[in-house]
Amino acid sequence: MARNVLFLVHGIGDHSEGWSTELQTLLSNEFSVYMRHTGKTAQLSDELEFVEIFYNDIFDSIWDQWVELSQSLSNSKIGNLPGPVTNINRLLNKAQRTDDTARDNATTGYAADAFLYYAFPLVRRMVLLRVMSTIADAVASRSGGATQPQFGILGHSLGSAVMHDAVQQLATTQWNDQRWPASKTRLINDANAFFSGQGANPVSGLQEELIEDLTSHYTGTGFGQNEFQLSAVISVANVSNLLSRHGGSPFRSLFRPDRTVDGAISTGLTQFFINIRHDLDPACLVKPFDASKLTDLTHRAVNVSLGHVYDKNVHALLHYMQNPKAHRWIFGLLCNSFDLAENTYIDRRFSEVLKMEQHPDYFPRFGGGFSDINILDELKRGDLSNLVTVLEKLI
Amino acid sequence: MKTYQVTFLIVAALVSEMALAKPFWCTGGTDRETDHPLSIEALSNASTAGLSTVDKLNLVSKALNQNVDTILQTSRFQANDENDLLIFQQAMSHVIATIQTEGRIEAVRLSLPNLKSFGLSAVDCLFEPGTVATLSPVLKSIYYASHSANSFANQATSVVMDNTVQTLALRTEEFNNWILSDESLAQWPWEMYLNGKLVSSDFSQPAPLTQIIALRPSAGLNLSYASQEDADVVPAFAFEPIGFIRYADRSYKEHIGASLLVTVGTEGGAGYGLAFRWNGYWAGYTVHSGDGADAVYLGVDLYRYLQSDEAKTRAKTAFVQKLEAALNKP
Repeated sequence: MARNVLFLVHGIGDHSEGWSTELQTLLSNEFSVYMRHTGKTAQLSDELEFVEIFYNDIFDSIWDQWVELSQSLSNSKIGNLPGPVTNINRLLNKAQRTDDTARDNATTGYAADAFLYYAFPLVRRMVLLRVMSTIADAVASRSGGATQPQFGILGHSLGSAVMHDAVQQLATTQWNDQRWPASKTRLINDANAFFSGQGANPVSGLQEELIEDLTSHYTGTGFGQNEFQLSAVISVANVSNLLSRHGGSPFRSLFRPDRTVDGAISTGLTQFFINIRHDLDPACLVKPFDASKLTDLTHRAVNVSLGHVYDKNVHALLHYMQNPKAHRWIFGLLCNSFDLAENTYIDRRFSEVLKMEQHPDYFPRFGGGFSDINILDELKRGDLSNLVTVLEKLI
Repeated sequence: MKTYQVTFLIVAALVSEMALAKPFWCTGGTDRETDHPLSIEALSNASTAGLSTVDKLNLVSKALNQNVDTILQTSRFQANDENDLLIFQQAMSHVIATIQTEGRIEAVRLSLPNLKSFGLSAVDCLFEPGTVATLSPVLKSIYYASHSANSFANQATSVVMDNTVQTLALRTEEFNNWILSDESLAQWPWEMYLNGKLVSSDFSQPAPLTQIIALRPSAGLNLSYASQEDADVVPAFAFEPIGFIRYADRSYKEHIGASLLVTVGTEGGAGYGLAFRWNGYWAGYTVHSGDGADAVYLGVDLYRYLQSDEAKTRAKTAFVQKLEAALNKP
C-alpha cells in the first residue's frame, strides 16, 4: 500500500536542504511512543513519507545579487557617490549574509525575507513556482496507480502563507492551455463517431452535456478545485492572514475545507484544516488566524492552542511539534495505524495519573530548560521574588 | 449507510436511468451485460408495477454492477490517438460520478474518501475481492462503479498532471534563468519590483523577454576626447533613468538594449545621452551641459573586455593604455 505523503514548508530562517531532518526524527520518535503503548510495531516511515520543500536559497540569491550590485559601485574608483546611492548601498550591504556569524544573528535579515516575499512579485513568483513544482511533481509521480496515497501539507510561519498561495495558485491556474488545444467541433465529431458506433442517435441531450463536461475536463490541470484535494493542511504559527497575496484573503480562497455556499457544497482544496498557534508566540498575535471562519462544517477546521514552554524560542517548529496536541493531527489524519486507542493516549499524556507515576510519556507544560520553574504559577501567585530568574530563563 | 442516503441514491439512479435514452453502460460490453433489464420501458414497467424498494434496489445495482473497465475495453470505439481515448475515459468517469436530477446536474464524488461517507470502510476501499464480495448489492455496485470511475479518472488525471508538472518545471527554469543566473542583467531592488509588477499575473505564461531598466546606477569610465592621444579618461558615476533590454531567448544568456544615460562627476559637468547594452557590456554617448566636450561612457565590463588579452591582441592602442592608467590611479 502506498505511503501517505506530508509536504513540509519552512518559514523564515537559515534553511537549506535537509532542514526538516530533526523534525522528522522528532515525529518518528513520538509516533513510536503511541505504537509502543498500544502494542503495535508500525514505524512512521512505513506509513508516512515526508517531502521537504525549501526555497530559502532564492532569498539568499536575491540578497547576494543586490549586495554584489551595491559593491560594484562601492568598489569602483569613482570616489564620492551621490547621497541617495550611498544610502542605498549602506542599506544593501547590511543585508549581506555571507558571514556565518551575521547569519546566526540576522533576525531582522530573516524578517526581511518575509518582506521580500510579500512586496516583490518576482521573488514571490519564484518561491511559488518552486513550491508548486515540488508539490505537483510529488503528487503526479504517485498518481495513476491502483491505490492513491493521501497528501497533507504542513507550513510553518512564512511557510503557512507560502503553502496557502502555492496550493491556491496551483489549483486556479490553467496550466495546460498550450498543451491541450481543445476544439469543440472536433470533440463533437469524435463523440458522434463514438456514439454512432454504439448505435445511439448522434448528439443526444446526454451527449451535448457530455461534450460540455468533456470540454471542462479537457482543460483540467489535475490540481483544480474538483480534481485534487489534500487530506490535511496543518498550519503552524499561521501568518497567512498577514502575508498571503493570492486568492483574496485566506478566508475567501479555495485553500480551505469544503463549505456550504448557497445551500450547495463548495469543494475546498483540503479535507481538514488544522490551525496550530502558541499563546506566547508573537507571530500569532498580529492578525491572528481563526480556522473556524474557513468553513461552516465545523469538524473540518480546527483551532489548536498550545501553551507549553520547553525553549525560549516558542516560535520554532520543533517546539510546536513536540507537543502531543500538535503532532496528533499529523498522525491522526495521515497514519493508518494511529487509531482511536492512540488518540486517546494523547490525552492521557497530559493527565495527572502519568504525572504521579512519573511516566516518561507524561508531557508537562514546562520542560527542557524550563522544566524546573513554573513561570505562570509564579506570576499568578503574584510572587515576583523570582521574577528576575523567570525573565532570565525566558529571554 | 443511512436510510436517506440509500433512498437518495436509488431515486437519483432511477431518474438517471429514465433520463438517459440509452445509458452508456448498457451499450457494448459482454453478452452477460447487454441483456440486463434496465431500460426506459423496464423502468417504467417497474415503477408502475409497484416493485418493492428492494427490487428497485436490485435493478439499480445490476446496472451499476457492470465493470465499466470491461465495457470500455471491448467497446467498438477506436481511439485515434491517446488524447481521444483519454477524453472518453474521463467523460465516462464523469458521467458515472454524476447523477442527473430533474433540475440540475449534481456531482456526487465517488473518490475513496467519499465512499466512506456512503458507508464503506477504509478496508472496503482497498479493493480486496474477498472483502468486496461480502458487501451488500448496493454497496458492491457503488464500489465497482467508483472503482471504474477512479480507474479512469486516475489514468486521465495522471496524464494531465504530468503536463502540468512539465509546464511548472519550464516556468521555474525560465524565471530562475532570468532572475538568478549570472548571464542575465542583475536587477536593483526597485527594478525587480517594477519588472515584477509588469509580469503577467497568469502563472502559466512564460517569463517575459523584455526587462525594464529604471533609475539604474552604474560605475564606468567617462572618455572625453578629441583624439585618442588626448583623451581625458576618468572614472565616473552614471545613471540610467529609463530603458529596456530584450533577451534573445529564455535561456537569458544574450540581450541587447538601450536606455537614457546621465553621467555625473565628470569635469565637464553632467552629461546626457543614450546608452546601448549588449550581453553585459554597455557604452553610451553623452553631450555635456557645461564646457566639457562630448564623451563616450564605458561600462566597467566593457573596459574589462578591452583590457583582456583578446582585445589587446587585436589592437593595443593608446586609448586602452589611457583607460588602464585611469583605473590604476591610486
